Amino acid sequence: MARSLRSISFPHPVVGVGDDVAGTLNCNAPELDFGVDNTTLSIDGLEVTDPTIAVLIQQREAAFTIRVTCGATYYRETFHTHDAQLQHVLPSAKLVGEVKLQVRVCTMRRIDDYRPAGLHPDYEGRSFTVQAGDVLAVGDDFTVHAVKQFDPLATDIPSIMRIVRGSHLKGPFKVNFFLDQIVIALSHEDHARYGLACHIAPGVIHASIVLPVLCEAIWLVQRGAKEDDMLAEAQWFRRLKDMLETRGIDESGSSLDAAQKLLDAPLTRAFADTLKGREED
Amino acid sequence: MPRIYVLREDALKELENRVLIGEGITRYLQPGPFEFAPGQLLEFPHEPAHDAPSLTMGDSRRERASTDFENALKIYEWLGPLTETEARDPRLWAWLAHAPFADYTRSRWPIPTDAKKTRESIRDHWFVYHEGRASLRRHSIARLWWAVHLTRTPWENDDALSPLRNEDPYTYTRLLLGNQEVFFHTLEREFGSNRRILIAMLEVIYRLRSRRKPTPLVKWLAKEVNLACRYRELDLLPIGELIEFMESLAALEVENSGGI
Repeated sequence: MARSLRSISFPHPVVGVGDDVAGTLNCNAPELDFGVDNTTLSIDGLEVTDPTIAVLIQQREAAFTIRVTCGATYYRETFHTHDAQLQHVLPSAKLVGEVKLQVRVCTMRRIDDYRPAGLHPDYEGRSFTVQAGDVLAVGDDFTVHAVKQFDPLATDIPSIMRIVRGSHLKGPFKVNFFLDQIVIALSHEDHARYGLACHIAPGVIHASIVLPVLCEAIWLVQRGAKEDDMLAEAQWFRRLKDMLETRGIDESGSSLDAAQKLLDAPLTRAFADTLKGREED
Repeated sequence: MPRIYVLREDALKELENRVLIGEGITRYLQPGPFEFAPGQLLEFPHEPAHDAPSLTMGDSRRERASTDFENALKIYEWLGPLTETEARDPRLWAWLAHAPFADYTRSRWPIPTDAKKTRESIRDHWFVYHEGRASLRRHSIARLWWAVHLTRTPWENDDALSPLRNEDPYTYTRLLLGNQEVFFHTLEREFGSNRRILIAMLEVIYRLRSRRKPTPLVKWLAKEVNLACRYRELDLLPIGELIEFMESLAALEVENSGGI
């Protein structure tokens, strides 16, 4: 994560710009956790040393703001918090290539007679009117490169598959292998139960949905992509190939064996989830 | 069944390199689509309902620009909504400009005769050649799709914009593509990536349309809003206040230009 500072002129004194106001706006480097569908932005250690501004934040008259900009996808949004940390989930599709993150403190409403404690003596006797949204403190700017890299060591099956609600009301689930992730579309009826089932018995989901789909995906990898279809450049295809190689799983062997190894004994976990509580009785 | 394709990475690189070193330029001057071998293409996962639309072309520069809105709707309807990641794929846009819309691209963005300008023009309008937003804004087809994507029924993507809801889903697309300066000055700058700021600016241009010409107004507003974004998070303002703020900036433009 690269940090940078920009020199900007402000119409009022701002912490972090020259010596107009003593103090700093500090934070730890933000983290972007790129998932298949969503990316989690996390930043902590937010702190402004000027006591006047710190009180304004406590009173919710100002806030820490994080502006996230991705030029490649015409995306720019500002998130704010009154706490020392912020976590926000945003769609991964909005972030490609260079992502800029700018940390500031901004006012949430107009403030008359604004006079920060650390104001330079040259401003003696002066106060300012600041408008809603005005920057009071400038922190670091950060740049992250949004390469949704896959760590094959993590054998992260969810990174190559996603389960969505399909357009059909009832009936068997459908699978699309021709996207960057394998998309499993459940019927409306099944999808309505999926959320709860996923929470109370994830092993059952692995055994009943993920295992058969993974078997077929491994079979496609074993067969090799035809030159004229999208599989050759689909991200899941390359990732799955990496996973098999990294785990030392023989590509030419049984796809069912390979899938069970990658999913770490899904049947055993499905039994454990299903019989939870009953065996203890 | 009609299909949409993308160029394979190596085919795209080869095509770009040929332009860069000045080879194969004459092909861009000849009519008709480029032909690609099956091995140079991949199938795009979205299947269109019908063949590629026929885009309207004009003779004069003004006529050509005036067809943008109509053509943008055709392109968006044909390609459909894509994720931003898909709509950023240079392999897709290169195929579209070189194959189904090659004649449109030639007609809309005539290739200059000067050698250096020729290469730049091809790079700009036939390829999405770098990561920044400018390359999407310049590409002959990507610019049309993105113009609709960024402005169509914005109140459906952001509740804060619901006060602007109206019966015409393309109110702001029409404004964005109705004037080349509006398109350039909004989408060229970083603030144009913020849907709320972009729509607020288009709304102000719409409200003042009977009193102010869009070109000088958008130039002024874009400069002032760009400056304001450096010291103010305009994104934090409710849409009404944001529009009021921009209207106050527009009033300064009137004063500055000696108007009423």
